[in-house]
Amino acid sequence: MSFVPLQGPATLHLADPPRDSEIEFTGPQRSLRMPMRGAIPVLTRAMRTADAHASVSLLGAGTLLAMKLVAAGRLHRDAGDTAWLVGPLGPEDEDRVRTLAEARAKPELDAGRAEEILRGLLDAVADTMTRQPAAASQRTWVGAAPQRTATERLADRAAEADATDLVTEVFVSLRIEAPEELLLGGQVSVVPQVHELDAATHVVDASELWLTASDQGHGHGFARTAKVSAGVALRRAAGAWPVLDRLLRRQVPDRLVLDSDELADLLEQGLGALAAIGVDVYWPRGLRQEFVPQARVEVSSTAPRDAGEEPLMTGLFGPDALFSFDWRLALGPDPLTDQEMAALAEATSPVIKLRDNWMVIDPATARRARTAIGRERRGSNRIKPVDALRAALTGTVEVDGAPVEVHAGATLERFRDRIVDASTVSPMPPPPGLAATLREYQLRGVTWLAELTGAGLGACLADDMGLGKTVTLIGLHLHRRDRALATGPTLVVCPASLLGNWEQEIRRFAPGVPVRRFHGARRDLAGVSDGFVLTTYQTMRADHASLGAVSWDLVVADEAQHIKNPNSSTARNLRLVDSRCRVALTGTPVENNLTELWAILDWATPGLLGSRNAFRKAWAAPIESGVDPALARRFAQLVEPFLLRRRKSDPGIAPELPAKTETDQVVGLTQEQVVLYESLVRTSMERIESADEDARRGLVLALLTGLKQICNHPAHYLRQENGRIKGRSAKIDLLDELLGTILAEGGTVLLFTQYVAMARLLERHLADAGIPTLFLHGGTPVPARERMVADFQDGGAPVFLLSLKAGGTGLNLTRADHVIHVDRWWNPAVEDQATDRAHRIGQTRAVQVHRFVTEGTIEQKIGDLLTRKRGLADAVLGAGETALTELSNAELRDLVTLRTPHG
Amino acid sequence: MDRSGGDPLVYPRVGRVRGAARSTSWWGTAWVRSCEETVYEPSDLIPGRALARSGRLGPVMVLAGMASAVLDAGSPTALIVQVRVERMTDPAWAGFVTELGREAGHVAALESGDLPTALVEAADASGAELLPGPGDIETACECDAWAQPCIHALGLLYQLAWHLDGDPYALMLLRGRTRDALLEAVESDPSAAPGLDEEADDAARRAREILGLADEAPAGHGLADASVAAYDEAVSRLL
Repeated sequence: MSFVPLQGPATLHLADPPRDSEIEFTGPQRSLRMPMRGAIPVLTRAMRTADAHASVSLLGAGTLLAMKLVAAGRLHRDAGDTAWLVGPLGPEDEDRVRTLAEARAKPELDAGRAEEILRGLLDAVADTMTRQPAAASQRTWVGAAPQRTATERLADRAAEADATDLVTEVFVSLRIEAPEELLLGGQVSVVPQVHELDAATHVVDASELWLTASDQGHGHGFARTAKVSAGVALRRAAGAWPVLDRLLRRQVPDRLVLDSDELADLLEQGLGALAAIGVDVYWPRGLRQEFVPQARVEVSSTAPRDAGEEPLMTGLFGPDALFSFDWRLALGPDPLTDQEMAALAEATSPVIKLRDNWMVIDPATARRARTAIGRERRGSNRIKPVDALRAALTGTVEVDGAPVEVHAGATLERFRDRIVDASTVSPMPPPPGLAATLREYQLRGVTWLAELTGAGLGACLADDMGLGKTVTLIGLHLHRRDRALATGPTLVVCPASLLGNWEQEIRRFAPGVPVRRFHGARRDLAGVSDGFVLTTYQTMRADHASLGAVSWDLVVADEAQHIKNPNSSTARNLRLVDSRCRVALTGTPVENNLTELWAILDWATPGLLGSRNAFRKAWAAPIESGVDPALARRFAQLVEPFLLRRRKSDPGIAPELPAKTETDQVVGLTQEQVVLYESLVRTSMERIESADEDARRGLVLALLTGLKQICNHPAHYLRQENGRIKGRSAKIDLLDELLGTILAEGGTVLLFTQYVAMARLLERHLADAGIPTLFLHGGTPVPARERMVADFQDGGAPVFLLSLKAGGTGLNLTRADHVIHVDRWWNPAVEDQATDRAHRIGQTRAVQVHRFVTEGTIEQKIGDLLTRKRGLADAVLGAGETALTELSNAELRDLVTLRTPHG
Repeated sequence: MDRSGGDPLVYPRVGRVRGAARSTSWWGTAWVRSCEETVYEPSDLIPGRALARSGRLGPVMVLAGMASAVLDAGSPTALIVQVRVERMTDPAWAGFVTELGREAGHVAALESGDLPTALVEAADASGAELLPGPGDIETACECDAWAQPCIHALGLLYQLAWHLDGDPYALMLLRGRTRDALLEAVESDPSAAPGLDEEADDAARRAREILGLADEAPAGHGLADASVAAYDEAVSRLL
């Protein structure tokens, strides 16, 4: 375009409207006819070309003059309002036109003809310089006040003579107008409107207020001062969205043409800022269509399925599973096509034409379209199975920081339904090999665990203590073997104090299944290929490398609150132990602390809840602040399938529960206890075997008492009233575990020991742990007893320490739902009597009795005797400990010798 | 018609002010500058400012072209202090009113307690100097100081600056016009024609830019000439 011949004659071809005029330049070889827009740059520099043709010089000088007039604002609309013309011209301007015409007159062109050309050129330039054709600015908008005729105005004026209540208090709004001519250039215009403060429907364009001179009457019903208020309101609006400043710089703030950038700014900043100060923006119908994002997640390919395998799951969540994610915008119910998405993404202006309609779209929407297309091009619209599952469960997916509604495809939808229904489907038959009759809810628990683990997902079984989580898990273990799903052993990680209990229950409910403890100095995993391996959190933390080398089928975290701190080495190392699936067991209400819940579920099903920070941001923080109930609902949809929590008080559970359940909690001895125990047995037995009848009786009783004290706690036996308590007895660890769970459930406990000294140790220990206790013993005066009992029944303390004998009579402690016997009283009748303090007729809650038994010790042997040979035990033990003094030396030795636990 | 009429503006007494109490608006600062130039003895400025902050001056009354206050009202040594400001002439006011009406934002700014610099500069150019110069300010006091402004008058001048900060109309009143008279005048200003359209404004702006470019236009023929190509491109962008 740069080369335009200037040495030949140039001709102006006028047109109507003037902007359509053309200039024809002639060169030696060719002529070039250009529209005004193309010719103006050339003409404005033509004067600098020394050898330009006279006609070119005339047009060049004329163009510059036209620019000066336009710059001075000498512009007006023509009568038909179809074009912009130069004028009105002042005398000086007229002079310049004539002077120029005369100066450029040539023999072949007289001054009159030159002036004629010049005036045509001025209009052509002026009309070209105004970007918007004049017609577009005609007030053709919907809802505008119809133009009033002169007669109507006269009538108004007459009516107004006695009108006294003209509106003075106003507020403003903005109306967007979008004639096609503006939209083509990516523009719209803004028209300020003035409303009566108390009657928003009484509205006029601001220009009406400004253009009605005070002597013309006020057909619009607004007082003159309303204009001042409207100006102030507009100034405030300009404070919120500075582009409006341009409006205020105009004499009459009638309208403002927004270019693409300003329109984008209005959409991104302006609307919000204006809304904040109460300035509404009205858009023409249809211009602001709402684009609804639609997202769809579906399996894009699955690993080939083995013939005959259940079509569900394993493949779907296997390592080869791929889910694709499709995100697009929809206009109404119809999603945009790829081409439409591309048009949206490529739009450089917020104004686009889609499906034959003009629309103004938020820049953010266009950006999202661009992101979506970019995602697709990069192939990063694939998402991980857990992310797909999360999307399917919550119905939303986070896209660029905003939640987007998402639909699951058919396969994923089926999968989702199966997960969601897992806890309510009809229970499967009891797993073969389980030597226990599962209660209905336990069978449901096994079914639920089987469904989830079968899908390669983790689960958290959070039933109340006493509902049988252990047996449920054993059921799962057997089920997976029955269905040939398991390919390796099951690892149970639990607190040390529960190792004995696990082993006992596995042997009892799954006889024949190998159980091995991976604990202590001589631990090893050689030859482990099936069955259960039990270990403690401590051992796991220290030796995760050995554990990680085994290909586990299932890893179980019992008392999973131990991994609630994801930064602890326990939690971190447990993550390093790989397995096909993971189950967390806990009796504490984990759902109350979202961060802890995250830690447990993220271990069970890594990635399900997103990274910790993402989780905090997306769920925990907003839910805890409680602003959005819908969010909490979505969260529940996400978490519920992976968390099964039944309470003892649940309607479906309570009737199934026995009124009283008794559990022996088997714990080991610490090294210190073993040494004390064995040396006491050795020295005492020597003396007993050589003692006479009377001395023997006393020695036997002293031995039995000493052994029981050692089983309780070394400090108890050694009479160290202020001795260290922690880490010397597994009974204390177990007590801490139990109390942690019980108190978290809001439960209350009767804690029995037959020794006041032991009770004092426990009292001190619990005080150190910040747990309020009441303590009743034989020396407590009666009024104090009654006060304590009343206090406990009123909820004054969750733990009531009692010495057994004192607890035996006249106490009604029905508030307690747990009874713990720290040591055994070898008369079942006395023990039952104590238990019955809590469990009485009329008691509605089920009571759980926990009896602490040290493994391999006299406690366990007497306990076995009590359960296996009840009749004999009654005969032997009916009289209490004194009966034991009648045993022979051999029987006694057999009774007191410490048996090391099976390894 | 007397356009200077109307009720006086009365500003309540300013109590004791601790620390500096500078004017916060650009026009208040300009007022202070003019006032300080009228001083005969520069060392009076400090006691003048101190007096303004002392709480001793009573309510300040502003009327067309003047302001007054009583010092130590009720005491036997009470003094009446007065400031006279040269009123703008009627032609100057007419020019000011025309400028005031030229942009819708001007009245809105005044109503919001702001005085647009653009308005004052445009009015200046049309011969209406709203901000009084030193020669436009004259003071009087009942004290026996031999030169004006005395420190009492200075105290009043400083206080006036604070009142002007929040109410530019007070400045108009000191120059001879009430708010109501001004607004009325803007309404009926014969020279105020309906404004240009946005497009015309915009076209004018671009035309000015094109003229600026044309001043520096390259002289070549445009054959393989990069500067010509760049020029054409730059102008085209403004069309």
